[in-house]
Amino acid sequence: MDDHHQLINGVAGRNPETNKITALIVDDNMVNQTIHHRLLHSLGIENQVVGNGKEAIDVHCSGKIFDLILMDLDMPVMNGIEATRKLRAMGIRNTIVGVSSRSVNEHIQEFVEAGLDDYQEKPLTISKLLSILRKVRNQAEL
Amino acid sequence: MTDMLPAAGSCRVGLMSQRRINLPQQTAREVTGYGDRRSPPPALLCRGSKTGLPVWMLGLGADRLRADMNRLLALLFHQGVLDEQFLQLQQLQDESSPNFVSEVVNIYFHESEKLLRNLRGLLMEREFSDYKKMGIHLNQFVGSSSSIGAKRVRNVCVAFRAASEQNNRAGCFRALELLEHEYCYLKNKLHELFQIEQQRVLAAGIRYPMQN
Repeated sequence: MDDHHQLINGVAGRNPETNKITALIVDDNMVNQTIHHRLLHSLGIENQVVGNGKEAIDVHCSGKIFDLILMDLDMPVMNGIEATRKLRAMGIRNTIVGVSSRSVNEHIQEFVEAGLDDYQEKPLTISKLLSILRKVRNQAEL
Repeated sequence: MTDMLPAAGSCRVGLMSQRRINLPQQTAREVTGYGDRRSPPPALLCRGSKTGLPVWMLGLGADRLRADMNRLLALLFHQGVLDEQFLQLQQLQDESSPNFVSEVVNIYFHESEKLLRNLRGLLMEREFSDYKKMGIHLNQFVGSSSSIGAKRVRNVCVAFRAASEQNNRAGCFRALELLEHEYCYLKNKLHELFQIEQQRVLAAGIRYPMQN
């Protein structure tokens, strides 16, 4: 757990009031929302949950910024590909990681090309999250 | 695959949503009468008001129940019903969120039964052709099943999704039958697991009753 804290505390761009990394979970599935929220919370990461890509855009338009966005692929209203493209077009440069149950390369390729920094196949685990957080830290240091 | 599984038992999708896993509301103190300020008998000699057994015997049940839970979990892992992702859920449960696993699993049951009704409803349509909608439901099912470690259900969903992508209606029907069977078995076993856990928590509370 010491390595975990070191990884989390080493990331710049944290919430200035709480000094914690912030994350946005974008997923329409209630089971995944609950688990990912708890997973991030257990690592000391402040996080917010929205149910589709449009809500992710709206929350950014309200002025909020997150160190990390966990973006599901298949969602109603606006899917992860479209949401990622729009966020990048808005100038959002923070880490966006695609998280989906898809494993076929052609589906993933379009998602990655939309502007992802990383892609992880569900289920999300602590070790996958730590790998993601390393990317967040590396990106913050650049 | 179904030949390897024991009978799922009575399990109807429509009735399943009425079952909910709840941890016991009563504390060990309420069950055993220990801590009653009017006439507190020695804790170890008083009889549990619910079971009639001496408290010390109830306390010893906690170890047996833990062994029962471990055996059931080992069986479910061996059968491929659950995978290591279920252990990840258990690791996320702690004092600040003591019912996390049962809460997530309840959400999973509720969502899954909606999806199963939707899938069956689609396939039963006379002029069914909306394989895209079926694929959306199945993506949900794959995602949530893999997130709680429901390995067999997930695998059947993946096969179901493949049949749907080929517009194979007969294949979809076969996959739906298998999915309902696997889901029933999973739900029955998880109910059994949580019931043992409830009994174990109660028995452990009796063994280590709260001090006044």
